[in-house]
Amino acid sequence: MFKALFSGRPGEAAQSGSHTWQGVREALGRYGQNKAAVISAAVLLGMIVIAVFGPSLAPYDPVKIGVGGRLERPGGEHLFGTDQFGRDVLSRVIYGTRLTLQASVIAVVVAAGIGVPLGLLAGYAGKVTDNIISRLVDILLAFPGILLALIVVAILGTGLAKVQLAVGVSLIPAYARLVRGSVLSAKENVYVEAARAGGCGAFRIATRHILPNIFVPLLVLSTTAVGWAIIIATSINFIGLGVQPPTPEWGADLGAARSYLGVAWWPGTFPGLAILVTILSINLIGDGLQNALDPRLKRKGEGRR
Amino acid sequence: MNGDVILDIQGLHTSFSMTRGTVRAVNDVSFNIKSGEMLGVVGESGCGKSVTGLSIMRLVPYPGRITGGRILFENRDLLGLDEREMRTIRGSSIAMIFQDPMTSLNPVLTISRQLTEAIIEHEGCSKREAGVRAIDLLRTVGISSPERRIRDYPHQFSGGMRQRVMIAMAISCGPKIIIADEPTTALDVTIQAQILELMKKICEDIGTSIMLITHDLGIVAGLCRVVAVMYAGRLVETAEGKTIFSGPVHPYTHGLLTSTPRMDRVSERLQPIGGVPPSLLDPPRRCMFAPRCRYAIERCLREEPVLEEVSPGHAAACFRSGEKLW
Amino acid sequence: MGKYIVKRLVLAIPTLLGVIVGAFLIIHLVPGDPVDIMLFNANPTPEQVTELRHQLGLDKPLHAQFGTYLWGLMRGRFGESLQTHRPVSDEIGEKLVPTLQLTFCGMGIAIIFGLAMGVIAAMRPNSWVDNLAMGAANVAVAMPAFWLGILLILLFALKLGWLPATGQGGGERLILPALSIGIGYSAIIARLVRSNLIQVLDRDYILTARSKGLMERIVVFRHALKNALIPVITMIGLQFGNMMGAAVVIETLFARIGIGRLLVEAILQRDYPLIQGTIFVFGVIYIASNLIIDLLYSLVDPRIRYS
Repeated sequence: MFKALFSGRPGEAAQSGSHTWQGVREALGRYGQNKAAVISAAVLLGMIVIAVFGPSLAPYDPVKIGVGGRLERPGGEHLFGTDQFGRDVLSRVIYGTRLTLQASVIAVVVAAGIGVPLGLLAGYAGKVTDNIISRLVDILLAFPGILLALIVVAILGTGLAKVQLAVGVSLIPAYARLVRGSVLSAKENVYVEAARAGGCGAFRIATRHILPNIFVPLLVLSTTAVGWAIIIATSINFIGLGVQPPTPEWGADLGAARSYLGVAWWPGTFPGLAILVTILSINLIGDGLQNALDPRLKRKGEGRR
Repeated sequence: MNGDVILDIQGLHTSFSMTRGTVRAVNDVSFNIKSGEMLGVVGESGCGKSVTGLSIMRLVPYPGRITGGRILFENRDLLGLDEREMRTIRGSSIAMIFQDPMTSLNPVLTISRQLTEAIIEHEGCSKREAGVRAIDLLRTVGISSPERRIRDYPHQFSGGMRQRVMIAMAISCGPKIIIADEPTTALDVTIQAQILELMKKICEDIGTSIMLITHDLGIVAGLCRVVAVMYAGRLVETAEGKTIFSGPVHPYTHGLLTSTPRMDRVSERLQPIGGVPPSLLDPPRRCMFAPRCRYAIERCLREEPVLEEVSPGHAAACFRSGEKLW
Repeated sequence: MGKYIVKRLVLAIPTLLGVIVGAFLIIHLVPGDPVDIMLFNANPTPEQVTELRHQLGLDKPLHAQFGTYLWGLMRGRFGESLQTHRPVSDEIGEKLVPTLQLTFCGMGIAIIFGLAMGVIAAMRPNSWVDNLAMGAANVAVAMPAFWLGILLILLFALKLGWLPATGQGGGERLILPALSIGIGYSAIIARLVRSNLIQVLDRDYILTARSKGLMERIVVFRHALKNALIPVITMIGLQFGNMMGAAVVIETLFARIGIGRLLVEAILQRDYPLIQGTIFVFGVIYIASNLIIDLLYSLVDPRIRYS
């Protein structure tokens, strides 16, 4: 999936000057023109607020059993109804926001933290290192996102932290590939040769010339990656290999709602709606960022899960 | 009958509506093409000559639109036809050849397919009949071993050969007119000559009229019986080929001639035309060439000159066309 | 073209080796003693622990284990499942076909809907049709397949009663699961087809085709589509792996038999021989599907075929 997303060639970010102040203001202006992107940013902000202030916002304790009757319909005291244990679904969804956002951000940080250096190494060191690292990444890529995450869970066991790690691992190839491509491409750039001729060391070249160039693609990749992380994480929790009850998590709650679909539609709907809204806003923000920061960059393909 | 007018363009206007304003790419252009004749349309890049060709075919890309005028062909106004009627004309009565043979042929379809589809579409032939004709066409345009090459893909041909294939496609249904938009610009000089020879042969042997659009005045010399010169979306001079070269009346045409190196006047200094072509965005109502013209007078900056006859078969859009300026 | 295929095959070998080694290493990467973890719930006696360790060959040195593993691999033996004590190859063998069935069905749906939506949107760019299609695609992409599955069950199985909610086999039992997988990927395909087709329709050879007076239908389908689809084919191939991954979750939701559910159960039960076998099979299938896509790609693009 990640192979399809980026052939590894970076955008011409440096040329569009998006990393100067002037560039930033222009980019913000372009972003502001995109209605969908602006609304999504507001929505995401709202979700972050909910995540942070969740405990104060939730009307009930999400794990407290019996605050309402079993499987009460939505409305009245329980806006989203109650689940099979009489727990308030709205509160569980609110608490789940924090978990999901946290998990996906951590996963992306892990992926970037390992993938970016890996890519830098592959791109900048010799051909041999590059080949080794590329083959390793190819092997990781032989298993798509969720499978890779499942392998990690198989090895390390279930649990929230393990899931975050697993999702992070599954996203590493995308970052490694992107960075490697950028480095290779930048290496061929004349200004790097000039810098080297001028006596710049590898580290300086990396930070001064390469990193600014990959900043925009990395940012855009990260927004898509957060979306993937959410899907993979909720999937793992859905099948029960992630968080354990009674932790309120969107995927896990959907998994638990399976058995009661015949009698109650709401426990299986609202958490899913939350996932949809979150990922949709993040995707639209990503699209908006991409158009704003480098309108010339063309997306080659998509990746998922 | 040879010599009759077959295409009559009257007051053609084609514009592109952009966010910044309207670009008047073709501004009140009128000329005609006679049967069996080779007409050259000459001008710099951006002067509207290509858009004129596309307008005749009604293939002007969005956001361009034909906004006025008439194009009379076979007693019908092409601009009044609906799309379906226009399609029966394209490729069969009027054909077009484009500039870059590298990109103008579909890389994933065989030459056979690309040659036969117009024949099948317009003449209702069977695939086999069309295939036979296609091989003949390749032979006509000078491609050797056509039976073998018919099944090849475009990338297996060289640039010059691809252009021959384009020509074969254009003549496949026996059109009355071929519009050739810079057919030799992307080719090597030696190949250029061959292609032009081929086109001349087609014009003379088959009797197809050819509208040759080019920026290269040298190409139309000796080839085109009539030459029309365009500048900034307007027609500035039309005359017989000989007259354009020996006695041009419009300062722009004169400027083109003196800025082009010529074999027979080696010792003369080249005189480039100063300045740059104007923007066609919301053009002002004056002579478009005036800012660069050595002979401009005050009137040129206030009024738009119209194309007027200077002598039989020779018209120019210049207020000073009656004077002998050089 | 032969050279192209051979090159692709050669490049796949290290990946295959990696999958082989990776599958082998799974049990050895488990922190702590895998045998203890596997028998955690069973309260084993020390003899049982030693016996299991011996049975799995974990008491031998690492290279010897790898040798046994490779030898077994070549004969198609992956050991026995700890849960059922049946050969892993049997377990996988029975369950592989339903999963492939589901994946291919999902892919078929994705391709058909995706192509249709993408072409329709590209032929009228920026119209309401285009905006609607792309808006729907955006939503579909943001939906996890399992939630879509739940919604489909709620609507078509429970509310309308048209289709069964669970169960294996083909026919109507396959529809909802296949839709759950297919719709999301159809959105991805639709977006790619649309953007590629719009680009291709802008190209010179399309102008040439139009100048021949061909009907727009022929221009789009004969001239444009083939060119636009070349990158899409690659993408579909890559997504095949993803779709199999999605099948893992969908099988759980719809309670279908398949290696997806097999893997999930195996992970829950710490059935490492089964896990290893399943991972290996998944890996091989992905590598194989990528190779097939490379082959298809070379067939569709004559420039590769004849160079």
